[in-house]
Amino acid sequence: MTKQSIRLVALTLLSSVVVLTGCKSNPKHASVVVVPDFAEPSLRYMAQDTDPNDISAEQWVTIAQAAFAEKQYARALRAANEALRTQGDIKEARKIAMLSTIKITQDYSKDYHDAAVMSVEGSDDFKEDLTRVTTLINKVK
Amino acid sequence: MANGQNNRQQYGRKALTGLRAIFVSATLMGLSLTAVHAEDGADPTAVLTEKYNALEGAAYESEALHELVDELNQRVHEHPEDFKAWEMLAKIYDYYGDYDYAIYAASEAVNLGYRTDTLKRVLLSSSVSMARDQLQSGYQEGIDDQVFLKNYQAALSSIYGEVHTFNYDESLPKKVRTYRPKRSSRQIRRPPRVRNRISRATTRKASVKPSRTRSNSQPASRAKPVPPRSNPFTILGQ
Repeated sequence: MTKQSIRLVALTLLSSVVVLTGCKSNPKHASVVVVPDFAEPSLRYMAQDTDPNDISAEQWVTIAQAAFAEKQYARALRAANEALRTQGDIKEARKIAMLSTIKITQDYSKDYHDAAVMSVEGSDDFKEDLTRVTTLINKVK
Repeated sequence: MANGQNNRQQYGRKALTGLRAIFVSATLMGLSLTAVHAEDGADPTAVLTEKYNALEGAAYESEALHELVDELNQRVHEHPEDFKAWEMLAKIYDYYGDYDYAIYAASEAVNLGYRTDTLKRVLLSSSVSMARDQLQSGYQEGIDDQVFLKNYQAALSSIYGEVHTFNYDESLPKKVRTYRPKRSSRQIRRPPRVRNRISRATTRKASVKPSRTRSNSQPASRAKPVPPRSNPFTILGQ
């Protein structure tokens, strides 16, 4: 092995070490970009003097029940989700949220075969989701 | 005389030039003001639509996108009758996977009387995705309410019926009906039997069962009396 080739190998090794060192990320300097959630849609339909932040979980459940009784399923779902956000786990809120959601799907399932509403891709995704829902609900005894 | 006329002409020219200058400057000022306040006069929904179109498909991290969502929410808060703003919000929430908000925004637009194809699509696809997410995150855990489950499954069956175009009611199990042959008209219209009053009365009397009374006396032996045996061979001797 000539001196030149040894020098070449040494240079290659050195450069790779330099490159690897540069690639190694330093956790101290790593910056995690936290993307905020989208702003919530307005709850304008509620009374003007009501601040949504002041509503308790129980009140949200009552609002959800009233909306469900009036067949306002989207508002019922929103209120039930607000209840669950306010207080971790409320069985009644979960039930309202689930039933409201499936009722909305039921209400609009008549439009499934309308090509102006559903694309072929969209309808495939819909069927896939529906199968998943059926499988999961059938596991409940 | 000539000097006076020249002076007047010069004066007139100067005045005309001055007027021209004023007119031009006023026009320029007007144009600049129009340009500066162009957005003030424009339809806010149109401005928001323009922004929406420019940001369609933008990354979720995009600040401009978040600003647009804020502006749209501000718009629907101040003008809840603006269905276009609700629709844009619904589409954004649906596209980025905020299904509950998408359903809510689309439904608010529908409540205003606008049942567009876009809103229907958002409601249909977002609701089924939401239902899937709910079940995957364990919303059903600990719920043993049979009425609730029955209602959920009934809704699901109805959806299946619509999607696969069959009458879901027919797919449900029904009571088994036993076949009963119809009675012939002759059997139904049987002529009434004319009975003798006396014979009927006799029959009735005969059919009257004695009332059950417990007697204290010992029941009579049901065994038949055995006749005294005779020697069968005696006849041979005779």
